[in-house]
Amino acid sequence: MARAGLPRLTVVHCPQWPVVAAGCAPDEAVAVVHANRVVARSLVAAAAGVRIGQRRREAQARCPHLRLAAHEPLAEARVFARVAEAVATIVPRLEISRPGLLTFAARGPSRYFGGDLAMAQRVTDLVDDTLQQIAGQQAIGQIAGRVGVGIADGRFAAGVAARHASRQGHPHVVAPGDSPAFLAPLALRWLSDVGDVAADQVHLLARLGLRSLGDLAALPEPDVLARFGWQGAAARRMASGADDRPAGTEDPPPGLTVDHHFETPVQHLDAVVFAGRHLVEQLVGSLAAQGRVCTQFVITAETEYGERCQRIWSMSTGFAVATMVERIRWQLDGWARAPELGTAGQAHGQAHGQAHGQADDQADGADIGPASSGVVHLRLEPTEVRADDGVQLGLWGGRTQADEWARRAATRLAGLVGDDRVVIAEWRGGRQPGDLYRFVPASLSSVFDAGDRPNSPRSSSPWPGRLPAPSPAVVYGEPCRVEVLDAAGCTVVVSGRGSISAAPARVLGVPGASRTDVQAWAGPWLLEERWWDASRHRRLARFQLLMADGRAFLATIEQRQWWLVAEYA
Amino acid sequence: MVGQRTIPVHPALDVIFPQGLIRGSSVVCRGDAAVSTAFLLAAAASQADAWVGVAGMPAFGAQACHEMGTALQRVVVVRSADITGNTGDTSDSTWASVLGALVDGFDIVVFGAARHVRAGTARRIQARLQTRGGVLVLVGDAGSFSADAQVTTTATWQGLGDGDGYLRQRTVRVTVDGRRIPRPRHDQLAMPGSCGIVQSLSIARDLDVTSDLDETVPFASGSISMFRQTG
Repeated sequence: MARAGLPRLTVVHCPQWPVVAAGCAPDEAVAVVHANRVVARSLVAAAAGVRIGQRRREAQARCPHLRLAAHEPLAEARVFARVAEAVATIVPRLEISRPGLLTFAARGPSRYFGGDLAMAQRVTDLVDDTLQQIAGQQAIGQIAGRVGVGIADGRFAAGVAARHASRQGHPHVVAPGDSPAFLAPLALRWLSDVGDVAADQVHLLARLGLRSLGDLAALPEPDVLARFGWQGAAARRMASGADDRPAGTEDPPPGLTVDHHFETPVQHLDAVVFAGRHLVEQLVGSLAAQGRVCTQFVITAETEYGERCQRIWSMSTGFAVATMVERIRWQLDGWARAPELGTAGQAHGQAHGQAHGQADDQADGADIGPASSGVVHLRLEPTEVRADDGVQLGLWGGRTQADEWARRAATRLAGLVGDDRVVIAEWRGGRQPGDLYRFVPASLSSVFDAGDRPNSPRSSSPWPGRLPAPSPAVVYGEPCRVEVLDAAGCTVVVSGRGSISAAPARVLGVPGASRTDVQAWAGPWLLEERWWDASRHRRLARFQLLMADGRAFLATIEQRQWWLVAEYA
Repeated sequence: MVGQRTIPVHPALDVIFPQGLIRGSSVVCRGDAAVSTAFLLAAAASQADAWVGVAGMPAFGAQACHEMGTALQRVVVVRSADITGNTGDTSDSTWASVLGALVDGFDIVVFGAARHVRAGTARRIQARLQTRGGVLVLVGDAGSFSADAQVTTTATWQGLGDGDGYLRQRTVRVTVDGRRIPRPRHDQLAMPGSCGIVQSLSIARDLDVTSDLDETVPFASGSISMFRQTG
């Protein structure tokens, strides 16, 4: 059933990649959490009952000594770039589907290394070596599971083979033409686990009595298409091992490649990313004019000494401007390779030009020295597009001239004061006024993208322990240390059981006034957070203080020290 | 909305800004409720898809901004170089470029560090504001800027007792005067009122709705959970 022209693909699957990137000892239980759900966990945590998709609290209940790490895509991509670099020494064109998953064409390297199995073994060794360096000589197999390399016809079959390989501990090669037979006995849920088919679609198929991928593949294609639409047809194509590309995609029309030559070599990562942002907008704009969205594209960056970094990035749901810019940042940041891997957050300013051959020196901890050169050329080439059926814009279009101006201004501001200082508030939730919102860089937020309003605050839902509205309009970044005295001039304290020593009468050290009398007050409202975590445990009492001059403050007392945390201005 | 001469304001401000905010003008908010009033000025515009830029306010209370009715996904915050609250280090030239970019791109610019901007810079920014047609809302202090309207606020809080209650209602007396306003306009605003709504008390009195509201909803939602400890 293998169609002529069906690509033979190799998939390298590093299981639980976020955990590896977060750093983990072999006997440690670590879970990476995003939006209150576990996205990855170490083997020790898995043995204790932590599952992907579990709520954070539930995971902690299963495994009390669980260490939680935040999901940091940038750090994960940067660490994974080292794996990609290592594989890039033997394979020219790599596709990073996401950090932890590499895909490349198997034919050329297989011929060179004498067969699929030999090549797969070699790739496994390469990746294992790199991972050992990353994890500091620890057996990666004990942290997150073994690396799996799978080779098969078709993208889905190769992905499944890689997962099999990860479980077996040795590469899994499906002989040419055997993909349908390999897939046929497997359960349907592989479609949602590997193939990105919506889970309810898979459930529906299962409820209709289809038990294995073979059952689905045995149905006549026109019937599946008629009943389940193109998504169903795509699922059937995957199940029969005949998918060469994600559902509904096609080759882009020619002439869409955009590039930018820098007149002087640019060493600053942000500057390259800004230029990249313009290119992305051009690209997305010209695709949008045709009603298409990009699902796979190639980023090529070159330094003045001819060092090149080329990666394929793909996303089956299609790239928006923000996600494409993020990929540029991931690739360049990984290429620049900060010496401290695994630490996230700091956008390292320098894009060191690093040739692939120098990878080993770097990995040994050798000093790279100053940047050898800057980036002179950046190119974006779409390789796969599909019809944009995502967001239905309003009749008059989702974007206005005002949006465009605001977006430009935000980009310019980011250039002036730094990317991380031009921010948009995103609702996060919390009990203290400073915890309620997280400030994300505007360049990474999709507020400027058409029709996309993702971060509307969901503050209508109650957050137990939070003080009720109205909220303070001035929330100090650094709480202001004050002294609160009672009528007798002694510092007011709150006992462990939440009773107050005396009514507050005066406050010393209020900003803008040295001494202020308290006119009315309320509290203490006790707050105990993270009592299970010795280092982040907080126990404090909150008060509202209304001063004689009419100003109202939110004050807290913690460890017998008073703080003003916010003002109701 | 781009082509119009004014920017709409929150219905509570209908008495003191009957025409809305005039494009190209500067407004300074002073007094006890200066920050909340500045957020309130930006509320209706952001709901109508205008963009709001905030700068020079290191202690930006996002939740209060949201409660005043501002759509936060339309608010871009420029954090000062020094996040700890000390804006004094940010030089005049930085503010000049930051404000320039803000005024170019945003319909409403809320700025809280006017006293750190020199007179020449302020003049240039305001000239640009008039060409571009935005509105500059200064918080606390006009500094070297010449404000077209001055909003002075005096706040009275209700709901807080001697160890009981919580800050529940605020009545703000607002006075607006300025060069183009022949006679100062006065109003009393509930920010928020008894049922958590921001409204003008004079309009509410005309409609005679306050008396009903006082009894029906004594507490804002969420007050029940405030004493509960959670880990």
